Amino acid sequence: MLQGRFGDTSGRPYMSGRVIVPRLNVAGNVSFIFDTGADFTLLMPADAATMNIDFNALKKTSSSFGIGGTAKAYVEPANVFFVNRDGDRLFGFNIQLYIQDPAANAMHIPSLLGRDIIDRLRVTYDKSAKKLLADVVSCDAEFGLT
Amino acid sequence: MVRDSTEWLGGSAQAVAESLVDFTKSAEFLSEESSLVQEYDQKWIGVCAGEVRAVEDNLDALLSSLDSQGIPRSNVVVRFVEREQRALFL
Repeated sequence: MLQGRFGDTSGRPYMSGRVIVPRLNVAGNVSFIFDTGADFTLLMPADAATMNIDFNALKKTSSSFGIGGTAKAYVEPANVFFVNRDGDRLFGFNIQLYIQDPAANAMHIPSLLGRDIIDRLRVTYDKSAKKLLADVVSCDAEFGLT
Repeated sequence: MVRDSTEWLGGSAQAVAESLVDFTKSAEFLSEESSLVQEYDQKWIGVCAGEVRAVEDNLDALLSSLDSQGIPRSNVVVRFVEREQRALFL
């Protein structure tokens, strides 16, 4: 079972995962907002900068559409991993990762975990008990740890 | 389903799991330590292993500070701290 958390000040739901972009040979841990309203998982500029993503190396462009309007984004195959609550199992998801263009006014916004991954989980969302839990219904890779 | 970890992770699954567990603890520290909001309002901070390791006015300076300390970025939770939370509609 995966475990998320709620921000103390904001009350926002978060879940941490490891993002790996094989073509760019970069990886990093990311604290995602757990966003059932996001169609896809979206890496925001601050996390992209922290991961040292070279935007000149990104080719496939797309756009993201939110309440602030439309913004340029890139799409890159990526693997996202989560560790279970007991720390003895890793679950991997192979996705098309959206990466927000740094020109967008989104530097302060956390990255979003979208339904490309959430749809593959069975989620308990209980803010009053401070519980955000998820069973993995399906994944693309799984590693048992000793 | 179990896959070859090197193909997917570029290394050891154990190391990735340990890194994620440490990162999650830092993220929880950031979520639960409300004094950080008072102390670092309008600053970028980097939290690693339950400690604030860098504080700067902008993200580039923060990342440079982490790099100069030899702290792996992937282990650091980076956030812009706001005392007055703006409503977020995504």
